[in-house]
Amino acid sequence: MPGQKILCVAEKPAIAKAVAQHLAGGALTTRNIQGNQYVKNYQFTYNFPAWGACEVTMTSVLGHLTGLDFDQRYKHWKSCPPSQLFDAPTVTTIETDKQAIADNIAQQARFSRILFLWTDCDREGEHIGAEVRSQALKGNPRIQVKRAKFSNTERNHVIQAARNPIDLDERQANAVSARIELDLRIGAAFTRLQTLQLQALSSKLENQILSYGSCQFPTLGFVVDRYYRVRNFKPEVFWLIKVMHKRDNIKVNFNWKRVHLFDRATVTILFEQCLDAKLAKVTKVQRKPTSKWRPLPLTTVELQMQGSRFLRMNSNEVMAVAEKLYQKGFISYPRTETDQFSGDFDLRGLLRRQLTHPVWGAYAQRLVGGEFKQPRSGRNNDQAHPPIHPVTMAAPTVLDANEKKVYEFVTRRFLACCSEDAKGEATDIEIEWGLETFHAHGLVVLQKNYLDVYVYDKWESSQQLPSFQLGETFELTEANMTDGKTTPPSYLTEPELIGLMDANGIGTDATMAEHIQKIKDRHYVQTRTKAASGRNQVQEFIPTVLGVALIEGYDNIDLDVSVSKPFLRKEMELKMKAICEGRKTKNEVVDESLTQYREVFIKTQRDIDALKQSVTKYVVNEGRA
Amino acid sequence: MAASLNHSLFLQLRNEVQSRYSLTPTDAWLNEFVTTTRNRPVPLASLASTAHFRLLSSDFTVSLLARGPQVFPINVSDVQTKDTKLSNNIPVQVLEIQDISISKWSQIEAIERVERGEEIRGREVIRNVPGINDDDDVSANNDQASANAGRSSSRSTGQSTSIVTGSSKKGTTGPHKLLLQDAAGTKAWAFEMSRIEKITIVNLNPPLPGAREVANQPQPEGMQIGCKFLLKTGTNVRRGLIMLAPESVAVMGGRVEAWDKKWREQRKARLTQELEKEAAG
Repeated sequence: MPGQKILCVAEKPAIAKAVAQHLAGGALTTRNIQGNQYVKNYQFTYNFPAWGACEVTMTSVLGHLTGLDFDQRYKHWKSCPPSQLFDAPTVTTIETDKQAIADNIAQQARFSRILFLWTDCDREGEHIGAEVRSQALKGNPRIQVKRAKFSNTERNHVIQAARNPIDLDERQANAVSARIELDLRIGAAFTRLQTLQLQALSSKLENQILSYGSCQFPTLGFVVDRYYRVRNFKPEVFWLIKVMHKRDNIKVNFNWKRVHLFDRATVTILFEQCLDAKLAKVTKVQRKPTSKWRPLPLTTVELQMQGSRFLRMNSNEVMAVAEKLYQKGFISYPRTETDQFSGDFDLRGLLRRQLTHPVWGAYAQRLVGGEFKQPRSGRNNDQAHPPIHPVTMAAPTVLDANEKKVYEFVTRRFLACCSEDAKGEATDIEIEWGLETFHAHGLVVLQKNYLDVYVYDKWESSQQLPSFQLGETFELTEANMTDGKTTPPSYLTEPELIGLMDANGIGTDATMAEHIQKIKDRHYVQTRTKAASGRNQVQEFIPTVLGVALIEGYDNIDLDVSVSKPFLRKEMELKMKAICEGRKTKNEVVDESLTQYREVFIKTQRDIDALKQSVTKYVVNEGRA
Repeated sequence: MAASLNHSLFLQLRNEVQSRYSLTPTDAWLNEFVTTTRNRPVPLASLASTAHFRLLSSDFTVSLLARGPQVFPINVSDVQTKDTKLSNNIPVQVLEIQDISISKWSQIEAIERVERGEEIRGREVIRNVPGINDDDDVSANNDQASANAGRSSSRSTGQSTSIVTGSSKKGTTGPHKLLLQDAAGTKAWAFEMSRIEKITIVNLNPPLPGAREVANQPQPEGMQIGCKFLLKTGTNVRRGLIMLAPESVAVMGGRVEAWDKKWREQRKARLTQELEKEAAG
């Protein structure tokens, strides 16, 4: 068959294989490529509406194909003053182990008329697509370039994507190359400065790279900030009025509307005023239907937060497993900010695929059988991917332990989204005693609905409240003035840290877990399991002496904005967005951000003693002045 | 003599200020006022209004007559007196405000955040520096519920209370405890029994380091030290504590700038000191 030749390139081998299998429909030839054992070339024919019957070669890369590094002359740590790295020439390199993959693409491109990119549809994927394109152009300068828009590897979805090619988004690719250049220059300059200056202070630091990253440091800053809040905390006594009334053999505790006050004399006087009144009066009896809302569709940040809360895995592990599940075709693309399903999304079709699951198949049946509810819509839509959802049913037997946990979470969440809210009846009773108000709250859960499948949420009936009549007066069974003490906040947990990073623009949903891992790897923080019961077993973060020393050191340098704060990085992140939206060019952004950080660098260099003193204080002298 | 020439105006003005504002200035204060504002004839009502305005930024112990029924009864702070009521309208000035619903520690944390030029909205840390402050009102309140989830008694932890008071823009909501002073200089504590909107403490951003001292510093929102109240007849006093409620007190406003400045400068040190005293006791 004469047809045209088309070269398809995916971001990872598993995607290439899945897409090839769907398009080939069985008639598939697999070839190894020379020099790399993971990447394969799949050959088949396919009739694209746009291009007619084609001979297709489907291959892949392994993530980024190229890297950015300094020119040879600047690579050695002592080759130049670190400040020169802000403008030292850079080169785009191909790592030796990826050369074979690059060659394969150039080779295949030579005979192809069209390059059809199947990299993931997000910023990184757009950039990887651009990397692949420049390799392909080496083999064939006239090759035409298109990309597929897809967010999972389910068959119909893949075929839709194959039939509707779009263009590569240059802006997104540019945003990534801006970020790569900034991370390289800023990271290398500060890392060399810190490491060279601080390593010499103590033999304890001899073999340690004191890396700096514009995301790493604000991340560490959050951990240290909380650590100090815990450490500096001073407990205080407060006073409160506690009242209890026993009726129908039920003890009802009423809570003081003022909760508690930090002034003993005042509470004493208020309590006396109550006692003088003798009788309490019922001022409000309200029964009303209440509900607990089903969760929103699942985003990456939410998956990481809830995963590290409920699955006994850290966010990095959760993301790695989700990635594997995606590559195996079980779940949709796990990097998404979208928390709304579009109206035409075939939710029922996805539910039907879960009917045979041994654990929640029956629940899925309930939904398909009529209990289905259109999911709630959140406020975010990245216009690239739908919320994370199960694509096909994965029997427990085909998954390993961690895959099972993540797949279960994703699926239960999806089922919960398509369910009815939990329904209950709330009872509120308010009484006035003297001039003070107290209230009791009761809850009866009537229909669990989504809670039947979403075992991570808790909503339980309280004790049954006896009946009280509006306006009735009675003498309270028990009333006391008691005291209590404020308790310190707890150390930062992983879900909290992710929440802070997300709210403050530190990293993207795709990289947050890596930054957290990095500050662990660098021994800036340690984690330990927070004492808690049941499913809820989270990691909490405590900075090491080194972590504290670095943050305090930077905070002591007279900077407008310390690098331990999220502000500078957040600005940079907003600029990336500006590139994507066409409001700024890559060069503008790189120049602006480098100017900002260069200024911080010069001040840091000038005040390096502040950093040295701090490291000496905490690391060398172990906290003794 | 100017004073005698104006004697009738003087008396008229005193009556006017008395009847309209329930304030009785001393002869000396009123004399001074009349001599400095005598330049051109103005209607009595506007003159009285100007006098009232001046009184609000004066020290009542200097400007008001300290005799008669318009001062606290001698036993006002007596804890032995269980329950009594004020039998007259009494003008007072505020010397101290404390929010006793939140811990001193979280108040200190909030002050320090403002000192650093930061503000917290939900989980987001915001740089609160003039010119940099972006005004997109991203409310993170939705997140707060989940951020608080998992903590058992939300208000008894230092952490969650500081979220409530974290913002420098929003003032405290109390209940507050206030130290009040009458014209005679007698001081008595008062408690905000029911919410009075105007009683609120707002932390003020300090001038930026290196920035020029701006002459026209924005006035702090919220209540300031030296603010004037009129405690109305019938106001309840229990065990020496004056019980404030919207119906029993008229907040007239005003401030004594020097007092307020000093109070704000020393507030953190004072809270810290009290905390240490408490820890030691």
